[in-house]
Amino acid sequence: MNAAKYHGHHVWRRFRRQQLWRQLKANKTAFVSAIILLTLGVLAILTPWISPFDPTNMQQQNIMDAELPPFWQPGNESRFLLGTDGLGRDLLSSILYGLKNSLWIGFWAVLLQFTLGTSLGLCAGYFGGWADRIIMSLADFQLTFSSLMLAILVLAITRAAMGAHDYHIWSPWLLVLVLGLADWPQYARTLRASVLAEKHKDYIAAAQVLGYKSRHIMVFHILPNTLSPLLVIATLQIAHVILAEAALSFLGIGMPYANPSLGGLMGAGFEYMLSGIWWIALLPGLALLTLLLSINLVADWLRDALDPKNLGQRP
Amino acid sequence: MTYFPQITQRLLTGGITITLVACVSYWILSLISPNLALDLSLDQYLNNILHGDFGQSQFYHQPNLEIIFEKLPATFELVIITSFIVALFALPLGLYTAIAPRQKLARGIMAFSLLGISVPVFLTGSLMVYLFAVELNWLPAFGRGEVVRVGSWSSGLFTVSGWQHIVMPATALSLTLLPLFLRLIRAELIQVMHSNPVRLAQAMGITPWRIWLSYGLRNATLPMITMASLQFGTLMAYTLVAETLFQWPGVGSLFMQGIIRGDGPLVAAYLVLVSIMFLLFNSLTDLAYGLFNPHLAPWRQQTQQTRQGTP
Amino acid sequence: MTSPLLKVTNLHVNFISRWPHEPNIDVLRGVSFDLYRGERVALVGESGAGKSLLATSIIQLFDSSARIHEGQVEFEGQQLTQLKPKQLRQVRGRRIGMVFQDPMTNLNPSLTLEQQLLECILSHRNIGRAEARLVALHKLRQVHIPAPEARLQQYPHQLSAGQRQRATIAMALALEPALIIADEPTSALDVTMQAEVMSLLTHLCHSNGVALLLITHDLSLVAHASDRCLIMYAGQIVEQGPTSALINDAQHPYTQGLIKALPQMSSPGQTLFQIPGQMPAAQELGNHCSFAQRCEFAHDACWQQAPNMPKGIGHRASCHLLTAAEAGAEI
Repeated sequence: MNAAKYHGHHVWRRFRRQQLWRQLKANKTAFVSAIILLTLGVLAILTPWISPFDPTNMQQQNIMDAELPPFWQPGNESRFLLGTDGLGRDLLSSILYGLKNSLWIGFWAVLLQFTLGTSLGLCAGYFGGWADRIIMSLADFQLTFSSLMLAILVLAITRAAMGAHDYHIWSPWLLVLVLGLADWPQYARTLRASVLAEKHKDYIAAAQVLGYKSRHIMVFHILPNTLSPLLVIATLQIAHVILAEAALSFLGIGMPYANPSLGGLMGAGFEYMLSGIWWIALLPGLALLTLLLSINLVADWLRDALDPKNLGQRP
Repeated sequence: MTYFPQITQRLLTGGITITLVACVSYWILSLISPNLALDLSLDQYLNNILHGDFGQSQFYHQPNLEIIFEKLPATFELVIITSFIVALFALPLGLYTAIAPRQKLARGIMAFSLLGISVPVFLTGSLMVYLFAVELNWLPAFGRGEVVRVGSWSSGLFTVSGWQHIVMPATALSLTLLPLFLRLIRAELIQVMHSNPVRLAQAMGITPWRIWLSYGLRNATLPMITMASLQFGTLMAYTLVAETLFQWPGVGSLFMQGIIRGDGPLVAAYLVLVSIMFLLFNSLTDLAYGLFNPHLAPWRQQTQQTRQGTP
Repeated sequence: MTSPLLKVTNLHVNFISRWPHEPNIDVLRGVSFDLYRGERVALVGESGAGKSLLATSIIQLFDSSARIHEGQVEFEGQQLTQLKPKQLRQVRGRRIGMVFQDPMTNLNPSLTLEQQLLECILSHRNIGRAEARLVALHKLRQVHIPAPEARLQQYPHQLSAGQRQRATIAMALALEPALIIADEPTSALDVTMQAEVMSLLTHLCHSNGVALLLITHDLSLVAHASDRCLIMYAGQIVEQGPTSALINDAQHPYTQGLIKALPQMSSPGQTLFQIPGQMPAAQELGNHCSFAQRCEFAHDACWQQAPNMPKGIGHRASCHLLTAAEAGAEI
């Protein structure tokens, strides 16, 4: 039998047993948040098709359209539903593209963190010895600095070294790289603790006696049993990375101005806000808040739902 | 005395870390302002730092140490006021939500905390500026207000305008950090209350109040200190963002300006000085740890034994 | 006949499920026994049988979602299940003391022994600190802790496991309760310490007239440490009686299996006996004998109806074989 398929089947069965769907329906707040999050996700994916304008396309921008208010205020134009920014770009389109970018960066950065943190945590826990010591000292060192502070320092210095123009060509990738590398310790520490607890259990000894390779044991035997807390961390981290990206863009060291970001719009719109043109800064802020709040609510629910104390309570 | 080796060990690792950071900052200096770095070699740079010379800012044409120390009081006061507000509210609220989690008020507080960690500091700040500065015109939108010099320290806490200026940045920072600390404190307390010593105390019929004091708070203090010190980096990051938003003249906004202007010496000096401050802060928390943790206080037992005359 | 000190009647304890669509799990299913003043009773069973839960249920010390949904616990004439929290706190410690299993994690690491003992004593007795300290010292001497004055100033991490467990026993005895419930008090200790601490506990209870409910999975301990024995399986008591009678003439197949499994019962070179199978999980139980699937004597009646514990005192067990034998004897 294909070993990978067999174990994948087990992992799936284990999750089904927790009856996540029924638990989600039971908790109204989480259910609504999940729906909102899904909607935002779908909007983000469909953005290139459903967005009324393309904010990255400079041909579509007309400086004469700048600073128009949203539809419920006088002086608006109906084709710009939420108004325009200082360059004449439609705010609704910018927000949609900003959502897309935030989710895109969040996804890739968390994928990087997860893979790195999980691999290192597995190695540290399973092999022990000097690998464990090195990996854990590195993790401790990184944990004492906040990931946001590290990201700010590294990216700011990179920007100063590369100059604004070059930096903004590379910044999306740099963001994913830096944010991905900054937060792997959380996964590694949690996983290492779980691995140390599982390592001494009999089923691992059985697998070793049967001659399974270490890598196989780590991925197919230990990891499925330790996945739950990692998933919770990953969900929370998506919110954390999106927030970090917004903060960095607000400071001017995140996404380039041409490629809209929710934080960047807020940063650019701040001055306009001081003269009463509030929508450029605050409407993207509202979108960001909705995104972060729905992710955090779903993550909170997920943590309770995957709580191992609830396992085994089957009808 | 038994803890001298620990102090020397800490000094050694600290020294090595600072040296490493200094080397990295030299490399950064050469990246940002390559022409300046030509005149300065690495060992000259390290030697200068050892003598307290952190270079001169390209933009301000003043020694970096002076510039940074001049801006330090602003950041320091902002951080102190914020920490004070957070500590004032996070401890009692965290305690309350841990003791009585089912009460409506406790649930409301937890809902507020969930909202709080979803609102970034620059959103809170922007909203506050729009509401209180632009629309209502109650509070000033930026700057520090009038300052009073107390020796070499410029303080904004002695003037009315100083307080008017610090209210919004400190409140915005507090509103962002308070939910975080509240949840940490609550989680720690709940974990301690489910521990074995508490179970035994309950089995012995000790009143809940005494259990919360002698077991709950007491045993949660250490982990809380550890967790709080881990958040120091986050505090620094959020303060930097708040300083940029409110144009608060502290070291955070100084750093960002240095970045935008390409002021290599200033950025490099900032890195080294910030690392030194960081290490000092960690040492302070270690000290606090030692005070609270009976495991790490061998000298306490020794002094007691010498007093009682037993070997 | 004197009335029992502790009378547990038909106790049902279950775990409330978190989600409304999932049923609750019954763990203790109709436990009944009596315990008299000054006697030492052992509660024996394997992991998962519900022994620790029974112990904490007596003093209503639930830390998760467990609760009593049927049955009564009567102690010194009071219904413990009906007491208000404040009244319950006066029973805990003062009238019923507890000794838990793991000495390494049960004492408060931030308090010295003196602070911990005094807090316990002063919660229940209205005496001065100096007098309480003398009580603490006296108890520490009783449990054979050397140099008790110095030990009082020490923190738990400065004591060995054996000393910590003795300190816990001293704490339980300090208030001079009528009953001490000891949940596997020696399981976490070295073998060398086990016998010593065990005999200390039983001896002190005996000399102070304190009843002892000893919970253990180790049947060999029971012979020396108890007057009466209760055998627990899958949340029920399946056999009870005087220890010597129970060991020499076990009636329930499970008890017989436990005794056969003792290493002392095999000769050198012989394969050790093992009861086949495992104890069923809570969800697999129903209206049949819970031991049926592992029992070599199981027959149809065992699967159709759960056996009852005969009423009365003395040695008895809940097994269909016995009722059949009685019915057969009557005929």
